[in-house]
Amino acid sequence: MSATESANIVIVGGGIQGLLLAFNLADRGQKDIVVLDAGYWQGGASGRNGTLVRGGFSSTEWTRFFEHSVDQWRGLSRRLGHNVMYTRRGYAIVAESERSSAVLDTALQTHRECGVSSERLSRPRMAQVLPAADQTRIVDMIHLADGGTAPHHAAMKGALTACRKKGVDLRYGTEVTDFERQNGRISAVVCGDTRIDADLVVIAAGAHSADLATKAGVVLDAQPFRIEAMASEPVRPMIGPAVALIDRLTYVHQTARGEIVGGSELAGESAKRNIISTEYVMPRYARHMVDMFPGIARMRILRQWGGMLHPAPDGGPLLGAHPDLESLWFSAGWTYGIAGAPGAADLLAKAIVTGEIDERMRPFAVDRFRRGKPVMEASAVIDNASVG
Amino acid sequence: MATVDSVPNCRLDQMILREGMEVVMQGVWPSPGFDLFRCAGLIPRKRLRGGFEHPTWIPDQSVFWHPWERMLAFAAGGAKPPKAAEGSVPEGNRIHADIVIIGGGSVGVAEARAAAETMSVSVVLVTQGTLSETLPKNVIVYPLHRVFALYNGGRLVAAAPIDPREPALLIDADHVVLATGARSTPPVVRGAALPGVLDAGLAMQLALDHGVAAGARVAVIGTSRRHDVTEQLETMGVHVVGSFDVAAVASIQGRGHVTGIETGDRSVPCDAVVHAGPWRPDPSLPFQASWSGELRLTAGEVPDNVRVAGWASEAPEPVSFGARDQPDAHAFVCPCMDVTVEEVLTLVARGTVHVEEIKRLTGCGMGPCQGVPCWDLLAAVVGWATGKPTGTVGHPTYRPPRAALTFGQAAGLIDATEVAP
Ligand SMILES: Cc1cc2nc3c(=O)[nH]c(=O)nc-3n(C[C@H](O)[C@H](O)[C@H](O)COP(=O)(O)OP(=O)(O)OC[C@H]3O[C@@H](n4cnc5c(N)ncnc54)[C@H](O)[C@@H]3O)c2cc1C
Repeated sequence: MSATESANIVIVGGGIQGLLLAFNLADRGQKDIVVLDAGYWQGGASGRNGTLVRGGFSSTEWTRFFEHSVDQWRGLSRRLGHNVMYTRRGYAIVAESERSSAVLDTALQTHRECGVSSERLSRPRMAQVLPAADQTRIVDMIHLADGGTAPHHAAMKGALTACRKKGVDLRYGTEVTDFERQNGRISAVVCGDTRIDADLVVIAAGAHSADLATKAGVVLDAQPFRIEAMASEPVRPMIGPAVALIDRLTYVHQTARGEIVGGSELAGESAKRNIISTEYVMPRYARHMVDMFPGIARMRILRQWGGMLHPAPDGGPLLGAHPDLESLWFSAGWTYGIAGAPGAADLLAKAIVTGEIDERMRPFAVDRFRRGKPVMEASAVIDNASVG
Repeated sequence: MATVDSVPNCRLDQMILREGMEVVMQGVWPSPGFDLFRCAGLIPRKRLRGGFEHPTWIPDQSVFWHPWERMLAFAAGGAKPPKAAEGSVPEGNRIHADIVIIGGGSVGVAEARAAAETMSVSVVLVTQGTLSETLPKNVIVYPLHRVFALYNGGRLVAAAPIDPREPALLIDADHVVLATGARSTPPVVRGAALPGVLDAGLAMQLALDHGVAAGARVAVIGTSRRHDVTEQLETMGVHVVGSFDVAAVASIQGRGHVTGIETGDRSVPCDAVVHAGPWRPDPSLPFQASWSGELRLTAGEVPDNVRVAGWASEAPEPVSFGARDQPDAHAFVCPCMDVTVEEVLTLVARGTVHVEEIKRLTGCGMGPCQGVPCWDLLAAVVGWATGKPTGTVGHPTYRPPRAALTFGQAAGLIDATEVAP
């Protein structure tokens, strides 16, 4: 080693998870926090996503957790002192089959139990909420009034600015290459020929979190998974709320710039590690969009891109300390990592600083699979068969 | 930009007018004659920093946020969404070819002839324009098609016809020849984004295909390779008031439209400026043929199955700052997204030097051209400000399909593609 430094807390990964966690830790009075990121700011999934945010799912675990995050989103601009442009434009979950309608039954029940404001729409209301949609295909629809979108360029800028203001040491272009352990606990993070001694390390490295876990000598149940998204050329407002077409594993919304941005996950595609775009996702997403929003057929596609998720076997996040190595924490396993970011950061910071594990975070413990306790969720736009 | 026959965002300078076409101007409101959006020009530059939505003005908790966002979406959209139409999902095609030549200029044509001499190989030539000469029978020509991506290491060529009612095309290719030429890059000088400034390719096409001159008095600016363009424009009857070295041009003058150029110590009146150099190849397709990465897509060597030929293979001429030895703060780097040199320099001064980060902070290159040519200008400005050679600055990812195809054409490709397991 040519240089040794030290820090109180080292966070590996400067995506939305790492940055908001750093902010929350600093906000709770922690000093000497370093964030290390191998790439450039917004280079990870946090700079290449659909930006959709919702609190209501079909399981109580997901709903309690994500609803807390939506609450946090709503106050985030004020806390960060920077406009993150969270827009509560509503979130429509659309069912096109009886089977999915049954999922919405369960979801509504859950939403009522958890106090989430959600409404099952009548036919005329469906046409009001999604006038551009082919109404004959829609079997059932739920509208979540508090859901919406958080454009990543604004959210990431807010998080970055606030971290800087709090004195967090942010280093992009700095790859973590190894870890050191001492007496059953993690003791240092290695970046090439620099070592940073740390009291506590959090891995929030997106799709690379499981690789890094291996380097630290522990196992993390999740894997990189490439998905693709696309943006249309801009048009005047056509799609109001954020939309999930759950039968099609498709999500979409229209940005303030007028672009229609969304993507489809392909059932049966297996995990891939790269962020290139392909010839086969675009036609399938386009087909789903043309079926549901026929007018879009004559609009042009501006760009397509890829990014990686990091799904755990049940699609839920992996949050908290790792039981096999003291002082090593995770915020990983993300598929809905934008929606969940402010909530996860709040609860993880609380756990790290006070030692108290919040009930909303507990079900997503890192070791839930080996304890035989996955969290099943049916209304997410992820293909559990390919994830699991 | 205009909505033509209810298809939004058509560039009128690239359309052939037909009788009975219904054209509605975009980006003006409530009407082209009385356009309130023009008042936006009165907003001071400094307030326009920070990307298109300008989120520094209005916080999202404010009661004004939602109305503001709605107004913005209305303005940004520019055009009404199209209505559903019959037959808007044309069934795509997939063919195989031993050699695919992209580009129908003299180099592409020569390449096609050479390849076709071996009678046993199948040759396909794809070109955005039309061919004036006939090629040997064993060359299949797809005119009026834009190649919008090279997938799978350059082994799959994706193209779409200019006419959105026609089907998109995939070609499995053993060999690809990129004869895509070079295009002129506007100089980084004040006024280069004014209406009336156009690139040589477009000016020639207007004159050649439509018999339209770029203006009544045209000034040509460019590198030493500009003379051909000047001569050809003159032969086609365009009145050229002068041909000037771009390195001597201090600014392009005008408000709302070009009125002249400032070059050397004089001012030359004109109503159109055609830039003919610096010439630079479009980097998108070679980039896509070799891209890879998990944290960032970067290009490797162009793979063996892809060959770059002719002008496309020549080193790009450096981006020009005109007569100045530094970029003019008031010049545009990306006119679609309102990004000026000053905005980029401010970011660099604060330590933001990564082009991907600058793209995300300013929106540079996120408009209809998707970074071509403005990421070249961006790299030149960042290179100048950081003292790095421009070639080492890099560029953001050149993403397909750059508006080459519609959702309908894309959807028509389902049966021609398979999900890779
Ligand atoms: C196309 C697409 C659409 C999506 N749509 C949505 C959506 O609509 N709603 C939603 O909630 N979520 C969505 N997601 C998911 C969401 O983007 C992610 O879950 C979220 O961004 C994860 O944030 P993160 O900070 O954990 O990871 P990232 O943003 O990926 O950050 C991880 C960081 O770790 C760094 N890193 C990796 N290895 C190392 C190393 N060895 N050393 C140092 N640093 C390292 C990387 O450089 C990266 O910056 C989408 C994702 C994609 C790809």
